[in-house]
Amino acid sequence: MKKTRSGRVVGTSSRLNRREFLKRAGATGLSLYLIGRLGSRVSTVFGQATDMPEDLLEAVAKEDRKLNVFNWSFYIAEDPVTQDEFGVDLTDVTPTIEKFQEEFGIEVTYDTFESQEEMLAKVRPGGSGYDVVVVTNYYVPQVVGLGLIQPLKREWLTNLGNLLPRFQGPPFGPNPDYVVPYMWGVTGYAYNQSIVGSDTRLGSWELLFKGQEYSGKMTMLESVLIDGINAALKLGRHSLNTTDREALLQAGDLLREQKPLLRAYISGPVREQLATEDVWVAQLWTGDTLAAQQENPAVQFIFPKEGSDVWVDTMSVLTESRRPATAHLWMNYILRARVHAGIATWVAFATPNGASLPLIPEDQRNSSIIYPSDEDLVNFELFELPAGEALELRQRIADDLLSG
Amino acid sequence: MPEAPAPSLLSRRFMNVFRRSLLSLLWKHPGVKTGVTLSPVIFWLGLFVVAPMLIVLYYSFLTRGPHGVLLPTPTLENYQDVFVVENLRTGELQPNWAYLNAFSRSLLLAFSTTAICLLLGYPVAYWIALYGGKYKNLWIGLFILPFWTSYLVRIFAWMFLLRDPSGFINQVLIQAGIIDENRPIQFLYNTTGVLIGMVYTYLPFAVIPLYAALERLDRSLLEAAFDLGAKPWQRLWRVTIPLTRGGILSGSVLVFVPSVGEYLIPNLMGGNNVNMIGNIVANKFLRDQDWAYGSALSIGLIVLVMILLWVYFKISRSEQVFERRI
Amino acid sequence: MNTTVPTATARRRSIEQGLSTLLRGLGRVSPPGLLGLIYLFIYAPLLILMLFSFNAQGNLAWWEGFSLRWYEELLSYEPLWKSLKISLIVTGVSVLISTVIGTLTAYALYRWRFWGKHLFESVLYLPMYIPEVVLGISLLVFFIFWKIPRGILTMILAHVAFTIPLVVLVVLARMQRIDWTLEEAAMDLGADELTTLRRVTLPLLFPGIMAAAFLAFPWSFNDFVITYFVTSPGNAPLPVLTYNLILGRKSGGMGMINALGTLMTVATLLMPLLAVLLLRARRFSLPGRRRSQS
Repeated sequence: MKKTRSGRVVGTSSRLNRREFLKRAGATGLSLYLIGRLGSRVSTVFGQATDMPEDLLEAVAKEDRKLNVFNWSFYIAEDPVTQDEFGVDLTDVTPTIEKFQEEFGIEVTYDTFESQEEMLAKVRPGGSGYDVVVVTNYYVPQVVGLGLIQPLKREWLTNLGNLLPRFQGPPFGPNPDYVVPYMWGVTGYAYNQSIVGSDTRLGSWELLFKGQEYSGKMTMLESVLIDGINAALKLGRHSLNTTDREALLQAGDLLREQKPLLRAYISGPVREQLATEDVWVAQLWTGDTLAAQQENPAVQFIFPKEGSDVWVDTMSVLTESRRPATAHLWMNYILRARVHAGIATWVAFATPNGASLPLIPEDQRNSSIIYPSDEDLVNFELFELPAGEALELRQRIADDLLSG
Repeated sequence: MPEAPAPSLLSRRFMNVFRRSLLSLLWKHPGVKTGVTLSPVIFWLGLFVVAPMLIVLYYSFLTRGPHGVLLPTPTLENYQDVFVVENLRTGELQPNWAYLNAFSRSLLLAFSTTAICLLLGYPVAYWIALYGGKYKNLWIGLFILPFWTSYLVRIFAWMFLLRDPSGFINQVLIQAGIIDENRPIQFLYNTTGVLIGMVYTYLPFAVIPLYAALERLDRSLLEAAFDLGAKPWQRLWRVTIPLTRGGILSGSVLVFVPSVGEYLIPNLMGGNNVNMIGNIVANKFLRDQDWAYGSALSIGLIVLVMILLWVYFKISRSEQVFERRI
Repeated sequence: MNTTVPTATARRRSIEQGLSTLLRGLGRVSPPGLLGLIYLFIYAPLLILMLFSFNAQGNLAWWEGFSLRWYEELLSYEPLWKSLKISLIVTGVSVLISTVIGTLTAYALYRWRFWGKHLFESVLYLPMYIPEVVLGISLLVFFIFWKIPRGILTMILAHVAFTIPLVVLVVLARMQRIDWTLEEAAMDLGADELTTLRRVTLPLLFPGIMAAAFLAFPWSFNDFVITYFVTSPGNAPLPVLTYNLILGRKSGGMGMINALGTLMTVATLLMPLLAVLLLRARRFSLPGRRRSQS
């Protein structure tokens, strides 16, 4: 029961998890809560967590019962996922952090960033104090190369089996020795159905690059270095991972031609502006589009036919972490079917956790935006931030575009 | 209160001992006295302002290695790269327009901000100083008060007003039939937006020194000018403005210096369309992890500000102006 | 387009009325009228923000009905309270330290000539000249260089550094207005230097010192740029939280900032009142204590 469970059969593992949970929650709910609050008898509490290996719990007990987590903003279940609001009742595992603290008596400091650049800037110099950091797949090689994150102890991550097979190894499980998939999604663009719905260029990046009549009503994501150049590369039918100088220069030219049509290069605020119809077409991620859609049903999402990038946000443990066991405990906790389902439901991004899928609300599960079909993703790729000359070239292109 | 004298007596005794002590002798020495009084500020600013600057200066001469690692080989390349780069296609050396444009844009925006702040601030300061009567302090207080609220909240408030078409101003104009609802005015994410944000943020920096200067203005000189038949604009142009030159100058510097290095307003209200040097510096450190280059740019920005201040001090010939600002 | 805009004739009429009043006002522009416009320019954004914090829809600039929902959401948003606590700690401690250091500095600058005074002064005001982003980044680089973990301590170190010049300026300004003959009189009457300082100079300077602290408080409390670079795990002070709400993707974030902005503006309006009251109280109590001691 405690050792690695085969999670290939999605239904089985989810039922197991649910049964485990019901047992735990039903029989020991209150006492668990109280003990968790007291935080003094950790081992008793740990005894309940049947999916956590003994040696992991022993190692955790030797650490200081604290954990510092660094994640994207608004990327974890911050409120209870209730039947009323979401159509499923996952209140036993949400808010995520609170429930984790209750169960294990570990004090979690949770911090957020707005971009991978910000994350790297804070983590890279060392002494950041974080244990678990969420790294997007395209930064993983760089972060591994810099020695910032440590190899994982797979024997501690018993719930890894819950992941869909495609996320257990390459290409979608980026570097499985170092990171664990957290959420995934794609970059495409959002548009307003009632305004640009009849445009023939819809479905192609061309709308966003050549839509003269929507001049001033279109935005691109803030990170030109990554998202802007990637979109332009795809429009030019190049691979995202190309290091070909001419291809990148061509992408730069496309972006320069596009600039006069754009309102701004923004990421966060664009969601509200799509909802209020200030912006009609915007390069965006799936989850943000859905959030805008909730406020304004006319907002729709496009998987560009030229392709774009599929990204996977992953959890990793910093090399300098003084609480590697607690960090593993956290990751293995997130990988529980119900926990992962609670997060996915709240953030409205896709979970890589196969066992969670049956637990999330039906409208999300059936949403072609959150869980696109393979046909939607024909030309999509995983992007890997290049190093050396190609990176410098990208930086030059971005600088010339934004400040020139 | 019977016990009251006790502590006083005790402290007096202590003071007597102290007075006779060597410390006291030392304290009489002016150099020691100054040194002791100034040691905290020297320590603090030396450690947390000067030393960080020196580290940035040091980094600006280091060589960039792979993955943004700094190699301890001294080089001037970072500075050279600020001004000259290779053309991406031909490989020929050419001016680095991306940065030179950002530099000139920063200067231009800072200059415009200063001019607008002075134009808006002068009448306000003038009216309050000359006609404010006994409510002078109240008026000036009311003027400065909003600027004590959060800088971010103020920027956000403006973004809420300026958005198009869902912003407040555009909605009012549309509802009033002044503009077509399909043709809202775009204020945000362009130079206008950044300028509005900067003027709003730095206006009090202009008004306070202007007010201080106008308040000190000798009214009898104005009366004399009036008696001699000077027209209102002549009184303004020939008497008031020259006499408040100090205030105008220090107001200009106080607005110009922070606006030239502005970072947040172009970021939030410019939507990365109107990048200034501050944004590039932040990008180089955060996005590109290129500390050597970022340091060189920072030093460039500091040098630019220093040159401006040097010019200002040459013009005003008095550093006291700064002290009058409060 | 703009199907979401509910067209209400009543609202249109009221807006038209407002505009025509405004235009009529512009017609007879006089100096006070112009002044009124500038005051409007200053206050309007905040007033509109406050008004719309009670709007049922947070991101809209048209009225959807009165609601306190954003206040409820804001006040039940736990990170807010944590941020407020951090902000108050950082600002409280740094203002205290910088007021003491700044007053000492101003005293030395005003009273004594010393070698390198000009150089000292130009270094002293450095934090005011150096662009905030450069100061913030150089502090970040500095803390990294010495492997000092960023957090509340580093924020305090930075905040003290950039509030000192402000305190010095304010206290110096007060010193220039003080009647220094009082000090001479005390010395003539036999008080030594320290006694004079304690009994005469400091009480005279007190309003200036308080004013400096009151000016330094919002300066430190509202600073975003420098703080942003020197903070880290779980230590987001209020401005950083606001920034995350502005940029972030939290649903209802905009309504929450409206509510937060309103509360902060009201607090700011109350602060000078508090300052005046405190100064009054102090002014009346000081001579009394002096009398009882002598």
